[in-house]
Amino acid sequence: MASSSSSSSTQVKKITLKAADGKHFEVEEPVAMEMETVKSFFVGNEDAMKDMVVPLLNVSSEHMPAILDFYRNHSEFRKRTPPPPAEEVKAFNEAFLENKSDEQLMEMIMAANFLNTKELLNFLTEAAANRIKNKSVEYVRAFFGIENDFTPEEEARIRAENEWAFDGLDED
Amino acid sequence: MVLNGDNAGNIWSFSGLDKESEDWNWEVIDKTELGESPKVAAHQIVGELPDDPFGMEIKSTFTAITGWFQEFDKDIGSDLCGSGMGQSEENIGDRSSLSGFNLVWNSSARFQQEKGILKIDEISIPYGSFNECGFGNGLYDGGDVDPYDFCEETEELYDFCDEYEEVYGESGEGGAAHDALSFALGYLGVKDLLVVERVCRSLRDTVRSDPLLWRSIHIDHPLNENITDESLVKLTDRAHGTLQCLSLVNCSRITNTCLNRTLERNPRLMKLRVPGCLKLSIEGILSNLRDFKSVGTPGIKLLRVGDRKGVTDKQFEELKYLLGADDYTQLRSREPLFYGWDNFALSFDNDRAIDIESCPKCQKIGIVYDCPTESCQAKPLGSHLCRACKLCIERCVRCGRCFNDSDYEETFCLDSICLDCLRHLLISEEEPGDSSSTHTVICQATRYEFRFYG
Repeated sequence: MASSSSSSSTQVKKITLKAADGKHFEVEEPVAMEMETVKSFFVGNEDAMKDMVVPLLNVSSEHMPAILDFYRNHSEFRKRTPPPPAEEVKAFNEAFLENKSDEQLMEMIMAANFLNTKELLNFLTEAAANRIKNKSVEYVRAFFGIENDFTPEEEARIRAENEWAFDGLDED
Repeated sequence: MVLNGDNAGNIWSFSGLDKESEDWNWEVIDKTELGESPKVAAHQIVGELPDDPFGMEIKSTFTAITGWFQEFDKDIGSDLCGSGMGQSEENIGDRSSLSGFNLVWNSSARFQQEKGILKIDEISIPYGSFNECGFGNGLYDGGDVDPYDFCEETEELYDFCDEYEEVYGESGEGGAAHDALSFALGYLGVKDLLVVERVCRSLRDTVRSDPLLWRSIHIDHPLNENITDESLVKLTDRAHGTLQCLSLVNCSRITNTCLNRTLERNPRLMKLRVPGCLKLSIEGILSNLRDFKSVGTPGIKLLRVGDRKGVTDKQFEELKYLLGADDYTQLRSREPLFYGWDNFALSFDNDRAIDIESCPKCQKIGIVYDCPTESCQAKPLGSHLCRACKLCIERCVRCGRCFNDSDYEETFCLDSICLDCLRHLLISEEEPGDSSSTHTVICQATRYEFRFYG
């Protein structure tokens, strides 16, 4: 999918996106228009579409193929009549998440937020939420790479306040 | 984008969109559009703020954001998010004002993108600038807002809060991880929110100061065993009076006094679910609902009390009246309800106003189940031979079918189970992994329910 520096491509139905690290991606117009951020570049400015390279400075080229894949598949799901069975969508979504590390998931959430696509963002944030459900505080800290900045007193207080709730969490 | 409502927010949005293709000048918009809007005071305060505190050449966006914020909350103090969100809560019932909110935000992002386009080939665009642009776009258009589905708005407001922190450099450490996490918070339940609260200071403040996260509170196993009146009041107070849905499953320590306090402080509560809350008597619930309705609130619309012994016809009639559901047809034209592990505590998915009704066979008030078997469903409408409470017709605890023409086994918990389901469970138990653990969970649930209802 990645085509090196082919910004001169002027095919009518393709839009060139530039990822954060400068790599170019040629994308079919309908797929690119799934991203509100890209779409807004062209609203009222259709002439620009021919030569425009759209810079997506918050999306690394590492995640770009997967994200585009998501758009392609989901827009295809939406168009299909009758609608695809729920299992098929679910299988795709699970496969999409299967090999993603926690860190990659975080980065993709930020990318989806930047691209302003509700569907992808909702999907990814729900996935992130599922990964921290029923986990311990330490696990969530490690998951997001967050440091504990409470003083021991603060931590003791907050623990005491919510003590009633903390039974039966997975210790992992 | 669908534009609706006619508040100041929309005026701004239109101005942003209309001027998009021109080489526009914010000062002009400032004078013309803001001058026409009733919020002149906001304009004055805007003038006193620095134009571009971070040297990012985002004067227009900054003006739009701050101008709007002034309108939203004139006292930008140290507690930016908290107070801002508090204000927004007051408007939450107002569809048009929320739409305006989204649109303002969208438009401010558009301005920035426009600048981005203009400068693409000239200078490099600061990373942060684009970052904000992405944030600002929001998750959906204002036109989509469903007044009954506030979960999505939670996220929208969330982004907003975070974005604000980012623009003004308040959050400090953490960065992307916090932002990503804060998007996910909307999907977490009470227990997980309480965990996230203990992770670090900024998340604690986010979780505690955002009433939208607490608008719907669901307490189930394992929290239900320990939750007390005091803890529940503390939790519901986090919604700052905007609680809409309260679900307490088998919370055996919660008393009528607590329910009364919760209702007093949360006039917008519409869904109440208290199956298995043994200390909440039906008479206590009734008197609470009476009080609640008498103070002029919209009142509870959906009530789930679970199977209770000794509910009288009179109490049932009054409950229906208080819910505004005394229309008989409304109760009848509902989805079928099947007996089973999942339905001991009827959820709000089912659209009926109240979960109990008069059993066609014994006339007692309780949960009345339908039969999933085709032969029973095929019977002519109105005969309802296979519709009754769980005492009148014995049913399979897994699929909910009756045993008229089939054999069944009795489980260790004295539940009955049809042979098909038993076979299914035995097969899944032999398989390693997830399915067997599901079975264990189901068995636990059975025992658990049995303790309360049996």
